[in-house]
Amino acid sequence: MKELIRKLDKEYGIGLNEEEIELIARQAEESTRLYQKLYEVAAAEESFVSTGEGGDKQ
Amino acid sequence: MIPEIATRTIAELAPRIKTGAVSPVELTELYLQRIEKLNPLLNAYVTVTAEQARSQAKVAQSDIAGGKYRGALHGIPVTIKDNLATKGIRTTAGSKILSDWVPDFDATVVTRLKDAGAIILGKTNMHEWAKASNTINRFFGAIHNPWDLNTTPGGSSGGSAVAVAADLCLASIGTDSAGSVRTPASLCGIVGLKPTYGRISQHGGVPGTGGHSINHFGVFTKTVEECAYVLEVVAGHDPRDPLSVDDAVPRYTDALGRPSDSLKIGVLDSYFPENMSREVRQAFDAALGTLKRLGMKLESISIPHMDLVPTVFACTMRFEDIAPHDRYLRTRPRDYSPRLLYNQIGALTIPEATYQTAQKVRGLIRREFAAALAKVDLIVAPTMPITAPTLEDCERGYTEIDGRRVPLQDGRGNFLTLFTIPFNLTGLPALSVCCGFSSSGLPIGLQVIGQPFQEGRILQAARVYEQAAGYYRKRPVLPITE
Repeated sequence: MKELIRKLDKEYGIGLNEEEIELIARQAEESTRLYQKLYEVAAAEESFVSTGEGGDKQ
Repeated sequence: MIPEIATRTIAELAPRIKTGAVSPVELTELYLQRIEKLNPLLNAYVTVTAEQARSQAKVAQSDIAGGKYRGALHGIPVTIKDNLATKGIRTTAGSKILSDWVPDFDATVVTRLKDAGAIILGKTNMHEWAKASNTINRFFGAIHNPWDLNTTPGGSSGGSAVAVAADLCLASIGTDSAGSVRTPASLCGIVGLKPTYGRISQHGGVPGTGGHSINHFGVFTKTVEECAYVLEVVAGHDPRDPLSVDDAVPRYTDALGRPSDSLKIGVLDSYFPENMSREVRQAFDAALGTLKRLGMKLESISIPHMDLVPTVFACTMRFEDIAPHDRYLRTRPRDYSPRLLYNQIGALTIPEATYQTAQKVRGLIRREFAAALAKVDLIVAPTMPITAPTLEDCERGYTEIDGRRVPLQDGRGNFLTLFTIPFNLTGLPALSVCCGFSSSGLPIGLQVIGQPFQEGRILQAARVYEQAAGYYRKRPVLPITE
């Protein structure tokens, strides 16, 4: 994540220092971990629909 | 004669303004004097438009005397949150970046208020770019809660809520993408309505102050009846906002007198109970008791994926609201406060696929709410998990709840908006009305939620509850008299 933040910093010309990069990367990693749960639920919902149990969502 | 400040409402004033018994010019002057005395203490206004207000009041008075009375808002002093465009008046969005922007057009809600003859007293202070709820604004100063000046009024529309609660205007228009109308209404003991998505045109809202699919414009007043008057004026289709709904606007004031004793009220069985403080729980339980005594039937309801609301919301809000900031991030990044700048850069790391996945889960949650609302007429919940934290708590990022230290911000998002964001994701209409006070005298809000475009039913039930509970009569004590 730190590399991505450095890339964004360069692209946007912000001039973040190392401490700021670490803070933003840490927060972004935490968010990414939480978002994983969404993929699991969405996948389960899709499989629910594809097995014909989804009723009007077919 | 102008009624005492404690009983001064739109419902009380409108008939007197119509007959000429109350002068809009004198009324406006009283509010301007009050703003001059109290705004240095509260910081609710970022811009006071005194001369324009005086001029509008003179025109209103002359029109009314000439038999051209326009309706309940004619001659009524109101305010506008500072992220809604106002022609010829600085519109900052609480930011340094837009601190000198003077729009050459009015937001549709402003046009509608002006057409109804309302008097615009000024623009209200807010959190920077509407991006948090403590309204400690680095550029325009912190806003203070009139019930305890050491606490936050909430936000991001904190200035609007304080202006209404402290009688510095009679109504205000704010925006609500995470609870920014309902949370400050709750913390300030007044009424705040976020109507159904599409009910009020969002034309003229400053881009970058709320994700496009979760943001709403809303109404602040002291009482439910006043809220109905204002909603009737500002709601309705607007060709300049293609997402505004092309349905006739009902007469919401007609709904207020309807009987409510047969209403079925849903109470959510998870998410809310485990997050609320003891005092909020006590006030909420007492409110449920009042609703039962009024003849309403309570029913427990479940939303199976409720625990995912904060994650879906955080992803949606951050992804949708980053594009308008792209040019400012490239040209003026250090003109954001540091915390907001870091959040904005974090938002740039969210992949499109994650956003799309969040929308799938959001669809699931919406269907679950639709199924629940097929069984009941309304849902009630506390508006916030706690009463107003101190400004000091907000600065250090945590507060104490029943002996536990609770972070005000964590990976799931903002603790203060946990109870309001479900209705930004679903677009359902939701209103906050005062349902009691803590042992330290801070207000607690009850949220009433309805089916899409059932604002009338919400107002009907909230009005009956408000009159029975009577908390609207209690006003903050401020160190001035008229």
